[in-house]
Amino acid sequence: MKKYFILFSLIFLVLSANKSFSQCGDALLEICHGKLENARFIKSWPIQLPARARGETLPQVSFKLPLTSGNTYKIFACDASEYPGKVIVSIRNQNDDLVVTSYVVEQNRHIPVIMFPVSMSGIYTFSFYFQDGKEGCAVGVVSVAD
Amino acid sequence: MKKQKTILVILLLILGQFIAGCQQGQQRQEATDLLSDSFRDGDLRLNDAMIKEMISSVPNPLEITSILQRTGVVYSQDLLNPAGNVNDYNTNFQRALNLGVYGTDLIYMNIYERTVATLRYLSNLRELASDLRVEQFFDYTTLNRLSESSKNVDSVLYITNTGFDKMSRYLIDQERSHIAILISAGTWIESLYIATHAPTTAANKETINKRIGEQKKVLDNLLLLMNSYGQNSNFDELIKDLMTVKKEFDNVTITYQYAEPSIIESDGTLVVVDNSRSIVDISDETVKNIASAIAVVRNKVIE
Repeated sequence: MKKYFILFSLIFLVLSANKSFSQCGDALLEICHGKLENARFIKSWPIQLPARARGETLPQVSFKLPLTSGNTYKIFACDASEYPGKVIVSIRNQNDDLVVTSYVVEQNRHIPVIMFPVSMSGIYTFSFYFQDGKEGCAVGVVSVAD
Repeated sequence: MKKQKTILVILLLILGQFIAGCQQGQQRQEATDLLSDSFRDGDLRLNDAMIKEMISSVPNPLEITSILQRTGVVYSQDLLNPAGNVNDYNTNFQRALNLGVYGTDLIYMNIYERTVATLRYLSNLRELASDLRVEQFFDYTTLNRLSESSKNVDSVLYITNTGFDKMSRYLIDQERSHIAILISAGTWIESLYIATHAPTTAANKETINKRIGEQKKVLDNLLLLMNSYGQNSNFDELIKDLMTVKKEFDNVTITYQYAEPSIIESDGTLVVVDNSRSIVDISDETVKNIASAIAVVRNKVIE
Protein backbone atom coordinates (compact mmCIF):
# COMPACT_ATOMS: atom_id res chain seq x y z
CA MET A 1 0.00 0.00 0.00
CA LYS A 2 2.84 2.37 0.96
CA LYS A 3 4.57 1.53 -2.33
CA TYR A 4 1.47 2.54 -4.29
CA PHE A 5 1.20 5.75 -2.34
CA ILE A 6 4.81 6.70 -3.15
CA LEU A 7 4.36 5.78 -6.81
CA PHE A 8 1.13 7.81 -7.03
CA SER A 9 2.82 10.81 -5.35
CA LEU A 10 5.73 10.64 -7.80
CA ILE A 11 3.40 10.52 -10.83
CA PHE A 12 1.42 13.45 -9.41
CA LEU A 13 4.61 15.47 -8.85
CA VAL A 14 5.90 14.80 -12.37
CA LEU A 15 2.53 15.74 -13.92
CA SER A 16 2.10 18.91 -11.88
CA ALA A 17 5.70 19.98 -12.52
CA ASN A 18 5.11 19.55 -16.22
CA LYS A 19 2.01 21.74 -15.99
CA SER A 20 3.79 24.43 -13.98
CA PHE A 21 6.78 24.86 -16.22
CA SER A 22 5.44 24.16 -19.71
CA GLN A 23 4.05 27.53 -20.76
CA CYS A 24 3.88 27.11 -24.50
CA GLY A 25 0.34 26.78 -25.91
CA ASP A 26 -2.97 27.46 -24.18
CA ALA A 27 -1.31 27.63 -20.74
CA LEU A 28 0.55 30.71 -21.93
CA LEU A 29 -2.72 32.46 -22.78
CA GLU A 30 -3.96 31.83 -19.25
CA ILE A 31 -0.81 33.46 -17.88
CA CYS A 32 -0.95 36.31 -20.39
CA HIS A 33 -4.63 37.17 -20.07
CA GLY A 34 -3.97 39.15 -16.86
CA LYS A 35 -2.57 41.88 -19.11
CA LEU A 36 -6.07 42.45 -20.49
CA GLU A 37 -7.12 44.46 -17.42
CA ASN A 38 -10.32 46.28 -18.50
CA ALA A 39 -10.07 45.34 -22.16
CA ARG A 40 -12.28 42.67 -23.72
CA PHE A 41 -10.58 39.74 -25.39
CA ILE A 42 -11.37 39.13 -29.05
CA LYS A 43 -8.56 37.06 -30.51
CA SER A 44 -5.36 35.24 -29.67
CA TRP A 45 -2.83 33.42 -31.78
CA PRO A 46 -0.40 30.84 -30.44
CA ILE A 47 2.96 31.34 -32.11
CA GLN A 48 5.75 28.81 -32.16
CA LEU A 49 8.63 29.25 -34.56
CA PRO A 50 11.95 27.46 -35.02
CA ALA A 51 15.31 29.21 -34.97
CA ARG A 52 16.32 30.76 -38.27
CA ALA A 53 18.40 28.30 -40.24
CA ARG A 54 21.65 29.55 -41.80
CA GLY A 55 20.97 31.30 -45.10
CA GLU A 56 17.18 31.14 -44.61
CA THR A 57 14.77 34.06 -44.19
CA LEU A 58 13.45 35.00 -40.75
CA PRO A 59 10.65 32.59 -39.75
CA GLN A 60 7.44 34.51 -39.21
CA VAL A 61 3.71 33.95 -39.14
CA SER A 62 0.91 36.31 -40.17
CA PHE A 63 -2.81 36.53 -39.46
CA LYS A 64 -5.54 38.77 -40.78
CA LEU A 65 -8.03 40.48 -38.51
CA PRO A 66 -10.67 43.11 -39.26
CA LEU A 67 -10.38 46.19 -37.05
CA THR A 68 -13.31 48.55 -36.80
CA SER A 69 -13.19 52.30 -36.80
CA GLY A 70 -14.38 53.71 -33.47
CA ASN A 71 -12.84 50.89 -31.42
CA THR A 72 -9.56 51.21 -29.53
CA TYR A 73 -7.59 47.98 -29.62
CA LYS A 74 -5.18 46.85 -26.97
CA ILE A 75 -2.59 44.56 -28.52
CA PHE A 76 0.09 42.64 -26.68
CA ALA A 77 2.09 39.43 -26.73
CA CYS A 78 3.69 37.22 -24.10
CA ASP A 79 6.75 35.01 -24.45
CA ALA A 80 7.11 31.53 -23.00
CA SER A 81 10.04 31.82 -20.62
CA GLU A 82 11.53 28.43 -21.51
CA TYR A 83 12.33 29.63 -25.04
CA PRO A 84 15.09 32.14 -25.90
CA GLY A 85 13.13 34.18 -28.49
CA LYS A 86 11.49 37.53 -27.72
CA VAL A 87 8.44 38.06 -29.87
CA ILE A 88 7.93 41.10 -32.08
CA VAL A 89 4.54 42.00 -33.54
CA SER A 90 4.07 44.28 -36.51
CA ILE A 91 0.76 45.48 -37.88
CA ARG A 92 0.08 46.43 -41.49
CA ASN A 93 -3.08 47.92 -42.96
CA GLN A 94 -4.83 46.54 -46.02
CA ASN A 95 -2.58 48.59 -48.33
CA ASP A 96 0.36 46.78 -46.71
CA ASP A 97 1.60 50.00 -45.07
CA LEU A 98 3.34 49.39 -41.76
CA VAL A 99 1.25 50.92 -38.98
CA VAL A 100 3.28 49.96 -35.92
CA THR A 101 5.78 47.47 -34.56
CA SER A 102 6.42 46.46 -30.95
CA TYR A 103 10.21 46.70 -31.28
CA VAL A 104 12.16 49.98 -31.32
CA VAL A 105 15.28 49.10 -33.32
CA GLU A 106 17.29 52.24 -32.42
CA GLN A 107 16.88 51.57 -28.70
CA ASN A 108 16.82 47.75 -28.90
CA ARG A 109 13.64 47.88 -26.82
CA HIS A 110 10.40 45.88 -26.80
CA ILE A 111 7.12 47.68 -26.19
CA PRO A 112 4.83 45.51 -24.03
CA VAL A 113 1.45 47.02 -25.01
CA ILE A 114 0.16 48.80 -28.11
CA MET A 115 -3.02 50.89 -27.98
CA PHE A 116 -4.55 51.42 -31.40
CA PRO A 117 -7.61 53.68 -31.75
CA VAL A 118 -8.67 52.75 -35.28
CA SER A 119 -10.08 55.34 -37.62
CA MET A 120 -9.73 53.34 -40.85
CA SER A 121 -11.77 50.14 -40.73
CA GLY A 122 -10.29 47.30 -42.67
CA ILE A 123 -8.53 43.99 -42.58
CA TYR A 124 -5.14 44.35 -40.90
CA THR A 125 -2.27 41.88 -40.99
CA PHE A 126 -0.59 40.92 -37.73
CA SER A 127 2.88 39.43 -38.24
CA PHE A 128 4.85 37.76 -35.48
CA TYR A 129 8.53 36.81 -35.45
CA PHE A 130 11.27 36.43 -32.85
CA GLN A 131 14.14 38.85 -32.38
CA ASP A 132 17.35 37.75 -34.16
CA GLY A 133 15.50 34.71 -35.51
CA LYS A 134 15.77 32.78 -32.25
CA GLU A 135 13.50 29.86 -31.50
CA GLY A 136 10.46 31.04 -29.61
CA CYS A 137 6.98 30.44 -28.35
CA ALA A 138 4.50 33.22 -27.63
CA VAL A 139 0.88 34.19 -27.70
CA GLY A 140 -0.42 37.34 -29.39
CA VAL A 141 -3.61 38.89 -28.03
CA VAL A 142 -5.98 41.47 -29.51
CA SER A 143 -8.65 43.02 -27.29
CA VAL A 144 -11.05 45.94 -27.37
CA ALA A 145 -10.36 48.59 -24.73
CA ASP A 146 -13.27 50.29 -22.97
CA MET B 1 -15.99 -4.17 4.90
CA LYS B 2 -16.01 -0.37 5.08
CA LYS B 3 -13.51 -0.23 2.21
CA GLN B 4 -15.73 -2.46 0.04
CA LYS B 5 -18.71 -0.22 0.73
CA THR B 6 -16.74 2.84 -0.37
CA ILE B 7 -15.70 1.11 -3.61
CA LEU B 8 -19.33 0.11 -4.22
CA VAL B 9 -20.52 3.69 -3.74
CA ILE B 10 -17.87 4.99 -6.18
CA LEU B 11 -18.85 2.36 -8.76
CA LEU B 12 -22.52 3.23 -8.40
CA LEU B 13 -21.74 6.92 -8.88
CA ILE B 14 -19.74 6.18 -12.04
CA LEU B 15 -22.57 3.98 -13.34
CA GLY B 16 -25.10 6.74 -12.57
CA GLN B 17 -23.03 9.28 -14.51
CA PHE B 18 -22.73 6.84 -17.40
CA ILE B 19 -26.48 6.21 -17.55
CA ALA B 20 -27.22 9.96 -17.30
CA GLY B 21 -24.77 10.59 -20.15
CA CYS B 22 -26.46 7.94 -22.30
CA GLN B 23 -29.91 9.39 -21.65
CA GLN B 24 -28.74 12.90 -22.47
CA GLY B 25 -27.29 11.59 -25.71
CA GLN B 26 -30.59 9.90 -26.63
CA GLN B 27 -32.55 13.14 -26.25
CA ARG B 28 -30.65 14.72 -29.14
CA GLN B 29 -31.07 13.27 -32.57
CA GLU B 30 -28.18 12.01 -34.62
CA ALA B 31 -27.20 14.33 -37.46
CA THR B 32 -29.26 13.65 -40.54
CA ASP B 33 -26.57 14.90 -42.91
CA LEU B 34 -23.12 13.56 -43.64
CA LEU B 35 -21.43 16.94 -43.49
CA SER B 36 -18.64 15.77 -41.20
CA ASP B 37 -17.30 13.42 -43.82
CA SER B 38 -18.19 15.26 -46.99
CA PHE B 39 -15.01 17.16 -47.71
CA ARG B 40 -12.12 14.91 -46.84
CA ASP B 41 -10.74 14.21 -50.29
CA GLY B 42 -10.84 15.38 -53.81
CA ASP B 43 -12.74 18.65 -53.36
CA LEU B 44 -11.14 21.82 -54.57
CA ARG B 45 -10.69 24.03 -51.55
CA LEU B 46 -8.38 26.54 -49.90
CA ASN B 47 -5.58 24.92 -47.96
CA ASP B 48 -5.76 24.90 -44.16
CA ALA B 49 -3.10 27.60 -43.74
CA MET B 50 -5.10 29.94 -45.99
CA ILE B 51 -8.32 29.12 -44.16
CA LYS B 52 -6.63 29.78 -40.80
CA GLU B 53 -5.44 33.14 -42.05
CA MET B 54 -8.75 34.11 -43.65
CA ILE B 55 -11.23 32.80 -41.10
CA SER B 56 -10.12 35.43 -38.60
CA SER B 57 -11.09 38.09 -41.14
CA VAL B 58 -14.68 37.44 -40.05
CA PRO B 59 -15.07 39.89 -37.14
CA ASN B 60 -15.81 38.83 -33.62
CA PRO B 61 -19.45 39.73 -32.76
CA LEU B 62 -18.09 41.69 -29.81
CA GLU B 63 -16.81 44.35 -32.21
CA ILE B 64 -20.17 45.45 -33.61
CA THR B 65 -22.16 44.82 -30.42
CA SER B 66 -19.65 46.93 -28.43
CA ILE B 67 -20.21 49.80 -30.85
CA LEU B 68 -24.00 49.39 -30.59
CA GLN B 69 -23.82 49.53 -26.81
CA ARG B 70 -21.33 52.41 -26.68
CA THR B 71 -23.34 54.57 -29.08
CA GLY B 72 -26.49 54.16 -26.97
CA VAL B 73 -28.43 51.67 -29.10
CA VAL B 74 -31.09 50.10 -26.88
CA TYR B 75 -30.98 46.33 -26.16
CA SER B 76 -33.71 44.28 -27.80
CA GLN B 77 -34.44 40.70 -26.73
CA ASP B 78 -36.69 40.29 -29.79
CA LEU B 79 -33.65 40.29 -32.05
CA LEU B 80 -32.34 37.00 -30.66
CA ASN B 81 -32.87 33.56 -32.09
CA PRO B 82 -35.48 32.05 -29.70
CA ALA B 83 -33.74 29.61 -27.35
CA GLY B 84 -36.35 26.89 -28.03
CA ASN B 85 -35.35 26.63 -31.69
CA VAL B 86 -32.33 24.51 -30.73
CA ASN B 87 -34.38 21.31 -30.89
CA ASP B 88 -35.07 21.86 -34.59
CA TYR B 89 -31.44 21.66 -35.67
CA ASN B 90 -30.91 18.08 -36.79
CA THR B 91 -28.12 18.41 -39.32
CA ASN B 92 -24.50 19.33 -38.69
CA PHE B 93 -24.95 22.11 -41.24
CA GLN B 94 -27.75 23.70 -39.17
CA ARG B 95 -25.96 23.01 -35.90
CA ALA B 96 -22.71 24.67 -37.00
CA LEU B 97 -24.48 27.76 -38.34
CA ASN B 98 -26.64 28.10 -35.23
CA LEU B 99 -23.70 27.56 -32.90
CA GLY B 100 -22.41 30.79 -34.45
CA VAL B 101 -25.86 32.41 -34.15
CA TYR B 102 -26.33 31.52 -30.47
CA GLY B 103 -22.71 32.46 -29.72
CA THR B 104 -23.37 35.92 -31.15
CA ASP B 105 -26.61 36.25 -29.16
CA LEU B 106 -24.71 35.29 -26.03
CA ILE B 107 -22.08 37.97 -26.63
CA TYR B 108 -24.80 40.55 -27.43
CA MET B 109 -26.60 39.74 -24.16
CA ASN B 110 -23.37 39.92 -22.16
CA ILE B 111 -22.29 43.24 -23.67
CA TYR B 112 -25.63 44.62 -22.45
CA GLU B 113 -25.15 42.84 -19.09
CA ARG B 114 -28.24 40.64 -19.52
CA THR B 115 -26.25 37.85 -17.90
CA VAL B 116 -29.06 35.96 -16.14
CA ALA B 117 -30.95 35.59 -19.42
CA THR B 118 -27.90 33.92 -20.96
CA LEU B 119 -28.33 30.61 -19.09
CA ARG B 120 -30.61 29.01 -21.71
CA TYR B 121 -28.35 30.21 -24.47
CA LEU B 122 -25.36 28.69 -22.69
CA SER B 123 -27.23 25.43 -22.53
CA ASN B 124 -27.93 25.66 -26.29
CA LEU B 125 -24.28 26.35 -26.95
CA ARG B 126 -23.41 23.24 -24.98
CA GLU B 127 -25.90 21.05 -26.86
CA LEU B 128 -24.82 22.20 -30.30
CA ALA B 129 -21.10 22.03 -29.45
CA SER B 130 -21.63 18.55 -28.05
CA ASP B 131 -23.45 17.43 -31.21
CA LEU B 132 -20.53 18.73 -33.24
CA ARG B 133 -18.03 17.07 -30.86
CA VAL B 134 -16.38 20.34 -29.82
CA GLU B 135 -17.88 20.82 -26.35
CA GLN B 136 -14.46 20.57 -24.69
CA PHE B 137 -13.70 24.21 -25.51
CA PHE B 138 -16.31 25.73 -23.20
CA ASP B 139 -16.14 25.52 -19.42
CA TYR B 140 -19.92 25.47 -18.81
CA THR B 141 -19.72 25.05 -15.06
CA THR B 142 -17.68 28.23 -14.70
CA LEU B 143 -19.77 30.06 -17.33
CA ASN B 144 -23.01 29.18 -15.52
CA ARG B 145 -21.59 30.31 -12.20
CA LEU B 146 -20.21 33.57 -13.61
CA SER B 147 -23.43 34.33 -15.48
CA GLU B 148 -25.25 34.73 -12.18
CA SER B 149 -23.83 38.24 -11.82
CA SER B 150 -23.42 41.10 -14.28
CA LYS B 151 -20.13 41.94 -12.55
CA ASN B 152 -18.53 38.99 -14.31
CA VAL B 153 -19.26 40.06 -17.88
CA ASP B 154 -15.61 40.44 -18.86
CA SER B 155 -14.76 36.95 -17.56
CA VAL B 156 -17.77 35.43 -19.36
CA LEU B 157 -16.76 37.15 -22.60
CA TYR B 158 -13.17 35.98 -22.13
CA ILE B 159 -14.18 32.33 -21.65
CA THR B 160 -16.71 32.45 -24.51
CA ASN B 161 -14.35 34.12 -26.97
CA THR B 162 -11.31 31.99 -26.14
CA GLY B 163 -13.58 28.94 -26.45
CA PHE B 164 -14.69 29.93 -29.96
CA ASP B 165 -11.10 30.81 -30.86
CA LYS B 166 -9.66 27.45 -29.76
CA MET B 167 -12.57 25.56 -31.29
CA SER B 168 -12.00 27.16 -34.67
CA ARG B 169 -8.29 26.30 -34.65
CA TYR B 170 -9.06 22.75 -33.55
CA LEU B 171 -11.63 22.23 -36.31
CA ILE B 172 -9.19 23.40 -38.98
CA ASP B 173 -6.42 21.19 -37.57
CA GLN B 174 -8.83 18.23 -37.56
CA GLU B 175 -9.69 18.80 -41.26
CA ARG B 176 -13.16 20.00 -40.33
CA SER B 177 -12.65 23.51 -41.70
CA HIS B 178 -16.13 23.49 -43.26
CA ILE B 179 -17.64 23.36 -39.74
CA ALA B 180 -15.39 26.25 -38.63
CA ILE B 181 -16.43 28.28 -41.69
CA LEU B 182 -20.14 27.63 -41.03
CA ILE B 183 -19.78 28.73 -37.39
CA SER B 184 -18.10 31.93 -38.59
CA ALA B 185 -20.83 32.44 -41.20
CA GLY B 186 -23.46 32.04 -38.47
CA THR B 187 -21.78 34.65 -36.26
CA TRP B 188 -21.49 37.10 -39.13
CA ILE B 189 -25.09 36.65 -40.30
CA GLU B 190 -26.43 37.14 -36.75
CA SER B 191 -24.14 40.15 -36.07
CA LEU B 192 -25.29 41.87 -39.25
CA TYR B 193 -28.91 41.01 -38.50
CA ILE B 194 -28.65 42.57 -35.03
CA ALA B 195 -26.80 45.65 -36.35
CA THR B 196 -29.35 46.26 -39.11
CA HIS B 197 -32.42 45.67 -36.92
CA ALA B 198 -31.34 47.30 -33.65
CA PRO B 199 -33.35 50.46 -32.96
CA THR B 200 -31.11 53.44 -33.79
CA THR B 201 -31.67 57.12 -33.06
CA ALA B 202 -30.72 60.25 -34.99
CA ALA B 203 -27.60 60.54 -32.81
CA ASN B 204 -26.13 57.10 -33.55
CA LYS B 205 -27.67 56.16 -36.89
CA GLU B 206 -24.82 57.48 -39.05
CA THR B 207 -22.14 55.64 -37.04
CA ILE B 208 -24.07 52.37 -37.12
CA ASN B 209 -24.82 52.68 -40.84
CA LYS B 210 -21.11 53.16 -41.59
CA ARG B 211 -20.19 50.08 -39.57
CA ILE B 212 -22.83 48.16 -41.53
CA GLY B 213 -21.38 49.41 -44.83
CA GLU B 214 -17.91 48.23 -43.82
CA GLN B 215 -19.20 44.67 -43.72
CA LYS B 216 -19.00 44.68 -47.52
CA LYS B 217 -15.32 43.59 -47.39
CA VAL B 218 -16.06 40.96 -44.75
CA LEU B 219 -18.79 39.42 -46.89
CA ASP B 220 -16.38 39.20 -49.83
CA ASN B 221 -13.93 37.21 -47.66
CA LEU B 222 -16.66 35.02 -46.24
CA LEU B 223 -17.90 34.17 -49.72
CA LEU B 224 -14.36 33.35 -50.80
CA LEU B 225 -14.06 30.93 -47.88
CA MET B 226 -17.46 29.38 -48.56
CA ASN B 227 -16.95 29.08 -52.29
CA SER B 228 -14.35 26.40 -51.76
CA TYR B 229 -17.20 24.21 -50.48
CA GLY B 230 -19.66 25.27 -53.16
CA GLN B 231 -19.98 21.71 -54.49
CA ASN B 232 -22.09 20.81 -51.46
CA SER B 233 -25.79 21.62 -51.98
CA ASN B 234 -26.24 23.15 -48.52
CA PHE B 235 -23.24 25.41 -48.97
CA ASP B 236 -24.35 26.22 -52.48
CA GLU B 237 -27.77 27.37 -51.31
CA LEU B 238 -26.29 29.51 -48.51
CA ILE B 239 -23.85 31.10 -50.97
CA LYS B 240 -26.75 31.92 -53.31
CA ASP B 241 -28.64 33.50 -50.41
CA LEU B 242 -25.61 35.53 -49.36
CA MET B 243 -25.16 36.69 -52.94
CA THR B 244 -28.48 38.53 -52.64
CA VAL B 245 -26.99 40.39 -49.65
CA LYS B 246 -23.82 41.07 -51.64
CA LYS B 247 -25.94 42.59 -54.40
CA GLU B 248 -27.17 45.19 -51.92
CA PHE B 249 -23.64 45.79 -50.64
CA ASP B 250 -22.59 46.60 -54.22
CA ASN B 251 -24.26 49.98 -53.64
CA VAL B 252 -21.81 50.78 -50.85
CA THR B 253 -18.63 52.66 -51.72
CA ILE B 254 -15.64 52.63 -49.39
CA THR B 255 -12.66 54.87 -50.03
CA TYR B 256 -9.49 54.97 -48.02
CA GLN B 257 -7.33 57.97 -47.28
CA TYR B 258 -3.99 56.77 -46.02
CA ALA B 259 -1.77 59.02 -43.92
CA GLU B 260 1.33 58.05 -41.96
CA PRO B 261 0.41 57.19 -38.34
CA SER B 262 2.01 59.05 -35.45
CA ILE B 263 3.26 57.12 -32.44
CA ILE B 264 3.23 58.34 -28.86
CA GLU B 265 4.78 56.41 -26.00
CA SER B 266 3.59 56.74 -22.44
CA ASP B 267 4.30 54.49 -19.44
CA GLY B 268 5.58 51.65 -21.60
CA THR B 269 2.48 51.70 -23.79
CA LEU B 270 2.68 52.62 -27.44
CA VAL B 271 -0.31 54.63 -28.62
CA VAL B 272 -0.85 54.72 -32.36
CA VAL B 273 -2.52 57.83 -33.67
CA ASP B 274 -4.25 56.62 -36.80
CA ASN B 275 -4.26 59.51 -39.25
CA SER B 276 -5.85 57.40 -42.00
CA ARG B 277 -9.55 57.49 -42.70
CA SER B 278 -12.08 55.20 -44.33
CA ILE B 279 -15.01 56.98 -45.92
CA VAL B 280 -18.13 54.84 -46.24
CA ASP B 281 -20.78 56.03 -48.63
CA ILE B 282 -24.03 54.26 -47.82
CA SER B 283 -27.58 55.57 -48.24
CA ASP B 284 -30.48 54.94 -45.86
CA GLU B 285 -32.17 52.99 -48.63
CA THR B 286 -29.17 50.69 -49.03
CA VAL B 287 -29.13 50.04 -45.26
CA LYS B 288 -32.84 49.17 -45.46
CA ASN B 289 -32.25 46.82 -48.38
CA ILE B 290 -29.31 45.13 -46.64
CA ALA B 291 -31.49 44.72 -43.54
CA SER B 292 -34.24 43.04 -45.58
CA ALA B 293 -31.82 40.79 -47.46
CA ILE B 294 -29.95 39.62 -44.34
CA ALA B 295 -33.25 39.01 -42.53
CA VAL B 296 -34.29 36.56 -45.25
CA VAL B 297 -30.97 34.68 -44.97
CA ARG B 298 -30.96 34.73 -41.17
CA ASN B 299 -34.54 33.53 -40.84
CA LYS B 300 -33.76 30.64 -43.17
CA VAL B 301 -30.74 29.77 -41.02
CA ILE B 302 -32.62 29.77 -37.71
CA GLU B 303 -35.91 28.20 -38.82
